[in-house]
Amino acid sequence: MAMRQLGMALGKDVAMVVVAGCSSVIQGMGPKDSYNYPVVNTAFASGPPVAAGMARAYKARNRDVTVVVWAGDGGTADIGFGSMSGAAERNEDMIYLCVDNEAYMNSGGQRSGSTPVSARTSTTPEGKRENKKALPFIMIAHNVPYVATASVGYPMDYVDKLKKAKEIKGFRYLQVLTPDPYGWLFDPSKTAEVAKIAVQTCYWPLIEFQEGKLTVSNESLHCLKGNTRRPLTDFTSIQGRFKGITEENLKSLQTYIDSLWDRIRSMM
Amino acid sequence: MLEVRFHGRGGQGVVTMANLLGEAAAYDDLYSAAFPIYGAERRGAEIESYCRISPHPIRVTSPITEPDVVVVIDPTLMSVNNPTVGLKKNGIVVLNSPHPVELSWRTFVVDATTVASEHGLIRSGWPMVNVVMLGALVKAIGTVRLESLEAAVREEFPEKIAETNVKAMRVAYDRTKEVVRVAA
Amino acid sequence: MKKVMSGNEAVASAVKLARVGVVSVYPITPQTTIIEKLSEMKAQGELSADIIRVESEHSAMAGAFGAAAAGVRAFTATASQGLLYMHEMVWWVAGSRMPLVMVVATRAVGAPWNIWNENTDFTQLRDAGWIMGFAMNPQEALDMTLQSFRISEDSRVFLPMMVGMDGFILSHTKVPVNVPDESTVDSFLPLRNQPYVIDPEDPVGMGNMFQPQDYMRLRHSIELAIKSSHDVIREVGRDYNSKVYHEIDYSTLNVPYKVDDAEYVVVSMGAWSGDLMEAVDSLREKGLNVGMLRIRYLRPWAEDEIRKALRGRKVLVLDRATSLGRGGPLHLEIASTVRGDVEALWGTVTGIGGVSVGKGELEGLIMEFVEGSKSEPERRFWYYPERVRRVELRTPREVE
Repeated sequence: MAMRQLGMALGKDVAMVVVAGCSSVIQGMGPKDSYNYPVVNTAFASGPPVAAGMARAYKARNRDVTVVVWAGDGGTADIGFGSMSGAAERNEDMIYLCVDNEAYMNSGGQRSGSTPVSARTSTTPEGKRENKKALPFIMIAHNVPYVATASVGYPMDYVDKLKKAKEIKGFRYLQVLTPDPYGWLFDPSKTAEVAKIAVQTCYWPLIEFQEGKLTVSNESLHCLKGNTRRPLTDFTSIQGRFKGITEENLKSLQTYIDSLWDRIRSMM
Repeated sequence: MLEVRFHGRGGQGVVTMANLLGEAAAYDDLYSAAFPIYGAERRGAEIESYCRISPHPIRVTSPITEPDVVVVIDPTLMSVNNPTVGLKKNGIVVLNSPHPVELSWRTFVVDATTVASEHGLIRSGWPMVNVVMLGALVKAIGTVRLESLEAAVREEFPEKIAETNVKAMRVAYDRTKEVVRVAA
Repeated sequence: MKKVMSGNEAVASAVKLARVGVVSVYPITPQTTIIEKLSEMKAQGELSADIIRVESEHSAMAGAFGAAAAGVRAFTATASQGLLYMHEMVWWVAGSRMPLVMVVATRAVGAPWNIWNENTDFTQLRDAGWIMGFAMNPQEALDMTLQSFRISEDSRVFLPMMVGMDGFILSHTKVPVNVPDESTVDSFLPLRNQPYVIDPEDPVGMGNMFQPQDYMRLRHSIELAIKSSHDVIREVGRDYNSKVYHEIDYSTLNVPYKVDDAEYVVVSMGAWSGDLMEAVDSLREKGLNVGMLRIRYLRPWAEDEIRKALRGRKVLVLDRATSLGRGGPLHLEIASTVRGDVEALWGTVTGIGGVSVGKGELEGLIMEFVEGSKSEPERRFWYYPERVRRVELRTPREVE
């Protein structure tokens, strides 16, 4: 889903770097690809430097090409984090797209640094003990030209942000929440709905950071006040991965969400 | 083949000395191989560098253990270790020393520290005697020409520093004296 | 024109002359002065290449790979821990059949820490699908770096190439080096050639999931490419000799020295081959019929040249590298090449972790071989120079 919208948003003159993850399987097998973009598949931790090398080669060849790194949350939050941070610090010219399905879905749904607290995965059958790594804030701290979050539940917002990112030079970071029915355990036909509820319950803030300024996207404005948020249980109760979550754990997830919004307010 | 071993302390430019001698040799159409011994590159640590010079291509790569010439640019090294170890019987020692020193080899002495100070060759409070001592070395061995060494120095350093060093090097060349042995 | 320079400076000169588009590097001793020299050239406007100062060696190889895939010449350099850290990408580049060039200024591998020379970091990559040359002096480091771009980009090869050189012993030794001028190099090295370019104009995909049968065919294609690289290397070498520099013969992969009438042949690789040539000359003066075969290419492995040089001789293989538990990698390779064809075969590991083995010690070792091989035609051992013999070191086993 995130992939189709990417094509719509970015138009021509795009080259993609795909790091090992579920999308390297989606592409299909064998020599022919299902994308319209040229694609370099590469090892986990190498997406950003491969893209940096490509961007610099295009520059040397006077080719105006937007290089996009397509990575999962595991490739971003965990194994590829160092190389992404390095590329961001050097402000390499690329769009880094983190497709966040909150676990290592390619290898069968193990925990990642981006898995939320209390979610069950195949390596945390009792529920994860730690909070989701706050990647967007970490990227904002790199002070790169553009950081944004999106959800596949709000495709127009996602496409707008991709388009905006394409017009900017330097390191652009976009993290899109992509609920995975098989890992999160819900009915696949409800993917868009789950992605929407994640935003409505304020679990997943839609924000943008540009020229040193943080703004909250329209879909998330209601989250700035605690009393206008949709109850968190609307999000947790429709997914099997939170099944049997204790009151205490639900509270700790809520505390995490509140702290996100406190932080956003303080940065605005 | 002539094998020269340089002794000094980290930060005194011992490695540069070997390199400059090698480059000077090239101006005189000689082959050379200059290299440092690495590992103790701390400032103040004892350090060695090497330069081989030959009319033929040089194939040997190992460190020089039986040198023809030993150059000691830090006078304090003579008392704390033995820079002359392995020096050939008919070898030569070139010393930075304010006074004559009598050794069992032909020995050339110059007060390079004073020469460097006179010319304002001070870096971070240390007199830089490395290029100065090359003047003494050339006087002692004659294998490469002083002019070739000057050309190498001009190639290595920015103009102002090069000129000061060249001047000091010439002074050192003139002031270098062979120690005539008294004891048999 | 000859200029006095170190091996690392010679490599930097080659990178400049090869019109590299992107250099992607991370510093590590003893390679660092290559990238410092390139950075200095860049700052002075002498170097057209873009330099990516990445945050790790894994990214250094990844950056070079990305640049090469997007259509320019790419270069990186590393050693030891750095080479191990980039290991995954080293294999990835070969599997992607992407021409690029890496120089390895060899160094021992930890633990414990050791910055000095040893070739194990280089030799342990011989299964990765790269063309692997190893220089004997700074001149060869320059020449082979220039040749490697052409070898790597030849359509019969289309594989990355690494050039090894002994850390410090070559990387930091300054000797006169012939640096060709730009127009000479341009006449030798054509414009960049590669199997595919990642570009929106032709949206190909590379490196995605392969079915087992496709994968097996692809891996075999690398084996075949390495096979056909023998002729390419000889051809490129001859052309280099005729157009650029002729004082070192590049028409063969490996280099025999006084082998024709030799009863004993010592096999070696890298810088100490120079010391070995001195030892050979000196022993010949004493009446011993000894010669040397220098391995210049570890991949491809020129079985024909090696068999021809060693057949019927008594062979001593020197390894400045280990395949722990099996002695030295060159010895293993030689043994599998000349099985039954030689009168004696000894393999010795020495000069590890920066231990110097000079002409005198090499002569001693050869004499030990000459005497010992009479009664013991096959032997594998570690040779301790005097300094090593004196050491008393407790290993974990003895601590128990």
